[in-house]
Amino acid sequence: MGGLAQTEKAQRQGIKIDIKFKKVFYSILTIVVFLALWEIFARIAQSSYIPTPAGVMQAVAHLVINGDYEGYSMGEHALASCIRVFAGFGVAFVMGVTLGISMGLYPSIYRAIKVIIEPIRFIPPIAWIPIAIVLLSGFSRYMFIIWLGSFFPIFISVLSSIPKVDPILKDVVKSCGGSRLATIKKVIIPSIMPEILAGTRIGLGDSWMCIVAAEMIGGENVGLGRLILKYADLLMTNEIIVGMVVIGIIGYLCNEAVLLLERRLFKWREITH
Amino acid sequence: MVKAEPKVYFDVTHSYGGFMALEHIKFNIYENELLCIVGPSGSGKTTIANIMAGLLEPTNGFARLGKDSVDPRKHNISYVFQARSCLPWRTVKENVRIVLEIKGITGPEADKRIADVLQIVGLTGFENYYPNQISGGMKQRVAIARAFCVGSDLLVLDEPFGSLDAQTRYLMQGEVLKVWEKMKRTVIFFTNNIEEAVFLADRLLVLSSSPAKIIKEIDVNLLRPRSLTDPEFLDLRKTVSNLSELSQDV
Repeated sequence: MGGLAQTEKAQRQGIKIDIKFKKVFYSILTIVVFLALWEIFARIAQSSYIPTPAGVMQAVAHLVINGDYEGYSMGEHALASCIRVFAGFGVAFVMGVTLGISMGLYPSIYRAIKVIIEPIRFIPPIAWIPIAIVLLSGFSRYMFIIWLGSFFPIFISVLSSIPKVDPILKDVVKSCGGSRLATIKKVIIPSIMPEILAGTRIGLGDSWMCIVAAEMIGGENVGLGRLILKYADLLMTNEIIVGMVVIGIIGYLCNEAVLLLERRLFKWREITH
Repeated sequence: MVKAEPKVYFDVTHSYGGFMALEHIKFNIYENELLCIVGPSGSGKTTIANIMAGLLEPTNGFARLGKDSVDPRKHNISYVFQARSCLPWRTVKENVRIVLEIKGITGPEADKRIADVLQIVGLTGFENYYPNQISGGMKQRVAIARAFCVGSDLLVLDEPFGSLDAQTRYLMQGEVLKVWEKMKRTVIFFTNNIEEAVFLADRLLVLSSSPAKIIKEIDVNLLRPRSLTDPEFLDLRKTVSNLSELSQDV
């Protein structure tokens, strides 16, 4: 019996490893096919402006070893952008959650100011650049543009989640004498945690999408967006691709980090017997 | 029975907008009494329960505990809701603890009370389970444990077993009686099940369908523990059935 159970377990483990192996295999296959198609396209196009896989690899090596033509290393570029994104996103997160909750609880306020807020949501952050240049300077410009990109997803998802909180759960606190504050702390915030995190994930992604726009007007010569813009002036597309890929990878890692946090926090949703 | 001053006074007419839900519902509850209100679905039982617990302001009339209007901030009210009231992100233990947190009871005292009350409702061993890991009946027991973990001036149970199967329901009725006999509380119990009402009540009020009116008040003088097959029990059940517009479920 014991032996039988063990073989079954080993079999199951085998299947698990099999699935993992398949996943890795297909990912590698996808990358290889992609690179091949890219190479073919570049050869047919025969233009020095079209980036090639080999050219990008060379650019990576060069940028990592020597830094860019002004001497900034890749680490400095990535760090500068991360600081800007997290600063803008951080403010957006705090404001999005607190304003989302308070306006969700007092919808009359939101209804009153909706006429201004709603249209603003649809103005692309890049359209704010001239205004940001006029009104702001230095670091606040980065923060403002990134804030614009990430505030609304967080705010709207928190705001719209409040009316969906189960009234019975609120009554549980109320019926045993809990205050409004206790209801907010013990029922409303835990109830809307999934929406807060979903908004956070979208907001964080959107803030990375705004980094190039923000660094257009920030003034300093460091940052991943700046790297792209610098090499755009020189029409050196291989280096541009490097900047783009690094932004993509960091954005992806941020998203995965929030997903991991979600899985940790919402264990109770997953375990069922 | 020698009846002292009532503990709870209820005299309410309530409407939602133009819809009349309760039409002059008037009754009292005495200390340590188990009052059942039996009425068909949609007759306004939950409305009475919510007003009784101070969650809903009546459009007309009052619900008083002693001299004061019912106020959950001032009185200790325990409310067992009809619907699922477990917080899904808290374990069984933590779901009971929420009441103690609000009442400001913490530390070893809180732990002891939780352990005691979970023992009473038969959930020992399930302390660290999440609501989605346990059955509907167990969830309802969590709600009952919550109601019994603090002393209360009034215990309101709104169709607490409505969603349970017949067997679990029967077991839970026994549990509630046991707890009630052990801890002596003033209880108001709402149900649409006549058998349940006759089985549990010291006194019962039969409600009409909407708008709710009290059709009859009956003192249930059957000895406890009651038997569902006792001729006297069956007689009384029949009387109530004939009174109400409910279909008699066997």
